[in-house]
Amino acid sequence: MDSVLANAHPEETVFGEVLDVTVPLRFSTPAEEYKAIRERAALLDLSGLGLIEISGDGAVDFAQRVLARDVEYLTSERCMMSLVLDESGQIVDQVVVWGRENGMFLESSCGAGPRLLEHLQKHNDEGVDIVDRSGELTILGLEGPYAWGVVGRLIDGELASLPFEAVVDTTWNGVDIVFGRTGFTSEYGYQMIVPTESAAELWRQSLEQAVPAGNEALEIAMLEVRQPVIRHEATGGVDIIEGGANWLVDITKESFIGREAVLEAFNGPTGRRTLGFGGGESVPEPGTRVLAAGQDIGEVVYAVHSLGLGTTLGLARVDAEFAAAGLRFTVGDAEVTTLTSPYITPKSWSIPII
Amino acid sequence: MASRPVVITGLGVICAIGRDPEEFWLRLMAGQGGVTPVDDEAFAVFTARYAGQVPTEWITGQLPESDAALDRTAQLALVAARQAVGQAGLSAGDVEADRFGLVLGKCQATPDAAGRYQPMHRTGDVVAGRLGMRGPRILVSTACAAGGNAVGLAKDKILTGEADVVLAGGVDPLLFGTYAGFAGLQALSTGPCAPYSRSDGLNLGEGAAFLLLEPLDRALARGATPLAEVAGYGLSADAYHATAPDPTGRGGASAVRRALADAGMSTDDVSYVSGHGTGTPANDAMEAKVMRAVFGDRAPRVPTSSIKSFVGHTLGAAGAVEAVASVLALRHGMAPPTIGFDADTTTDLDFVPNVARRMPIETVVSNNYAFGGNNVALALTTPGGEREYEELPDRPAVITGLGPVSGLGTGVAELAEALAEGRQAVGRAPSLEGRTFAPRSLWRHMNHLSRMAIAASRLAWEDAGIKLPRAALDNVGLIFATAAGSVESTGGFDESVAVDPNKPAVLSFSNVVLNATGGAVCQTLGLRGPTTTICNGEASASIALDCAIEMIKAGKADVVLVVAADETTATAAGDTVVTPYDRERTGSVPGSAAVAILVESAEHCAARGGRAYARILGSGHAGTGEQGERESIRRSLAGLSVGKAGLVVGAGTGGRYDADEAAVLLELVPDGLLTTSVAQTGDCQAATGAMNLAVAALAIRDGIAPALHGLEHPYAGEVESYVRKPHLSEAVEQALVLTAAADSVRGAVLLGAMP
Repeated sequence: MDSVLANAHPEETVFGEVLDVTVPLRFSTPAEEYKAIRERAALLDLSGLGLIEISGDGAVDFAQRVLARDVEYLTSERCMMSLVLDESGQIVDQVVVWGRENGMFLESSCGAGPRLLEHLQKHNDEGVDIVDRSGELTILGLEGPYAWGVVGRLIDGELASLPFEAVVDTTWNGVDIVFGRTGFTSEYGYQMIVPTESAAELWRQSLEQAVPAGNEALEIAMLEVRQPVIRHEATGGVDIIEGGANWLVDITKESFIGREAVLEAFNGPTGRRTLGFGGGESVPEPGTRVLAAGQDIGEVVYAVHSLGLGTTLGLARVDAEFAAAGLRFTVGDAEVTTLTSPYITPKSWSIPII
Repeated sequence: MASRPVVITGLGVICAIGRDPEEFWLRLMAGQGGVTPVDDEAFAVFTARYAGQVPTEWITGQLPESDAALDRTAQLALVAARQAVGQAGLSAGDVEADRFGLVLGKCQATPDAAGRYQPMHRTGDVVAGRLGMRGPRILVSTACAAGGNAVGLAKDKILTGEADVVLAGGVDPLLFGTYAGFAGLQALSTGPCAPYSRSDGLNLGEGAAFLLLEPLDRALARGATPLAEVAGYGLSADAYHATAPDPTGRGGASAVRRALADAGMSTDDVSYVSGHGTGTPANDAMEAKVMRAVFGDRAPRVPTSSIKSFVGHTLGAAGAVEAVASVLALRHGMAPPTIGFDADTTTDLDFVPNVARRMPIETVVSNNYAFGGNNVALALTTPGGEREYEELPDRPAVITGLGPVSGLGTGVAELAEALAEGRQAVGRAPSLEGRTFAPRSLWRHMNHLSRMAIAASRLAWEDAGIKLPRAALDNVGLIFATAAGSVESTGGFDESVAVDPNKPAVLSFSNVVLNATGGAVCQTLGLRGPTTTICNGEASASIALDCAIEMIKAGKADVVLVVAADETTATAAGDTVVTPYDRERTGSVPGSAAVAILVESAEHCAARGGRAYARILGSGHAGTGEQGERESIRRSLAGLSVGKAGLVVGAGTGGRYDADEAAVLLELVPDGLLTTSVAQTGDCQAATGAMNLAVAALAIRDGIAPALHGLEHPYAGEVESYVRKPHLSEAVEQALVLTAAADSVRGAVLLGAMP
């Protein structure tokens, strides 16, 4: 499926497939786009993120069952991230849950909308209304230390300083939009859910204030702050403890799909853990072995060239006893060092919203 | 047509820069601050040592010998209160004692002369007693917004006709524990604070201020000089965080907009803004956003300043101290400066840096923001001439939802079942097992009082079957009623300070303010309408209900949630029995409970097809005086037609006033069977008042009431005059509910069946 904004993007845009969708990978160069994310304000075409609406009397009960975090009292002015698990505790997707007055929007990760929809429909014991709104609604994102300024100029200065995970129903250009302070890169991040017919115009106006960034730069920036990229990380039958995604699960919630498996993982024998490493020039393939003093202790989950660190940055899944920062490992032909997240310090942390 | 103009005719203030309004104003105009290192050596343990202190001789020099034994809080309050009455030229005979009200704002629970905590309302009782005031008496405790809030509520008491003159103000002393709490939050500046420029923290202060309010026509008739008109006021809830302000400034902006709407004015009418200006980065950044949001392009041309740079943050007094400064600014055509302002600060706003400014001032907006996300804005104007006005419209209000949370159970169904079975749960704490009533991320950090109150609120909301879109929730009011707030948090905080003042339990500190629980309810339910917190002991719930009715009458809200909660750390034996109104079985037992009551305009309820329990037919309150309890009860009932009440839910607790109450009630309401919920729950203070309202509403709709099974030797009448079995033999057309804060205030509410 092509981006609904494909026609709005310039000819030189490089598109690529991410799971079930085709999205802009880059508009210019990763370096330029990355710079916008980390130093100014980047505009993101998030049309590849699926948007599924659940509504009806049983919507909250259904959401409580299919989501791993507690959304019972999620109001229409809040959003939050959560995992969606299957019965065996495997990650189906990571979603942004948007509280709505009559239900919720579940925003899938990039390209994962169809499989999320299928999972939801399969578990719809409550008979709630599940509607894929991805066609009629499009998501645009703004991320960067000065993204708040763009929001002020584009929509309303009051929205710029919204607390994290706050949502407001507002208007832009006379069009009803859902506006949320969220984000993937630990910079100031905002998302705008806009009717698809108005998406190109919002994109165009946003371009006057921000630099477009594609999925490549976005995923690099995500890894730099240990924001999960599910399609890279939920591999090899990893459980959520091994994957380090337990912060997206709330086991104090009495019941949800996958809870038993999660509890088992919590209480189970200490297995592998996922942690970041940096070093080297080449980017190792997933599955590359990781050695400590010559001993095989695990494998690379995935890696990128971090523009923030100026070196290779990756995740490794290693025996738990090696899951500590500051250790020296060998990955392929490179010597690497294990790191604590976030692996870079986002500029937004030191820039106030005025 | 506008409502009756209400004016200020007297001012009183004592704080770090003056012992009276004249001295206060001279220092403000001279730019001469009063923040100095704390004299008390005990404070030497803190890195930050500056505060706005009142020299003790300023206090004692203005008090008669008979006030010498009073605690410092009462003394500060009396000094300022007498100044205000004196300036207004109010002499004996100018106002009937029964028509002379008091609304006092306080943030802290303050110690008595012996250093023990005293009831929140005690300071007000002392002032009212000394000045001969027996009219409405309210203790408002919206933390740092309380002083401004008091002025607004005082105006309401005049508009409803309950009082002819109301003294409104605030007071707070400098307390070691509070200082430790702010130090623990890293909120104190190490030197004199610099609001709006350096913004590196606040200074605490102490003081008191009062303003005397009366109707313009009445003031002119007695030859008084109106100093300013209280044109309007606005309240709002952030529904965001326990201590931090909503960074968007939405809550603050909403309060200003409501104040201007109440005053019938526009932002263009505002000449000067008296800011909250604590000097903390979060507050100052938020306030700048409020200015820009409210005034838009005009914001740089609306001067705003903070007199906290002179006096420190006087907490519950701050709003009143600033209101006094605002009135003086209007009178003199001078804007007080923000002192300590760093000249190198780059800003588009005009903070009146360092030097007072002469300028035409017709309207001042005075803003205050508080822990718990409570915001208040006052709109004060130059007094206009006498003019025609309209009384408040008669907008009937109904009770549409009940949320009882007590040892008897949670929710109406469990309560009804417990009443029907005559179950006893005296002193038993409510169980909230099995359901979280808020997002777990919030719930797990909440103290027990907030959990009870939130459970009660959600249950009342669900009981009412009300569903409102997000935009409507922005106008739903929330009135919290509590005698003492969270005993758990207060105890935990005090203990931590006693162990190490530099390691206070900061989470507990944020819950020590009495309005914290109300703020948590707003945050959890997303309510951003007008909000306040009432702390008049066991009478808090009926006073809170009055506030709700006033909001509805004034068109400020269609839906208001009244929530009352109190707790005890005492544990009662499982078989503890209390028998109110029995002369042979005296003694009361404390309990813990929260009760929420959803109040709606009858019109709103009908429009949504809601089903109400009862109509609110009327209410009355009387401050107690030297004439004794029976007279106070009679006066609280004076404005109500209570003769037809078939049920009376009294304020008896097994305490010393049961006999008086029973005697008066049996005389005035001869056909009303008397009962109280206390026999089954124990004395849950403010929550008992609300529980009595709830059981009365339930009796009207479902014909069931608490029975006094153990009553054998009533103080007054025969046992047949009391409810002896829960299922009432006759339908209750009207029910009378009493509340009482011992030696302070008496309340009464009359409920009627739906037509």
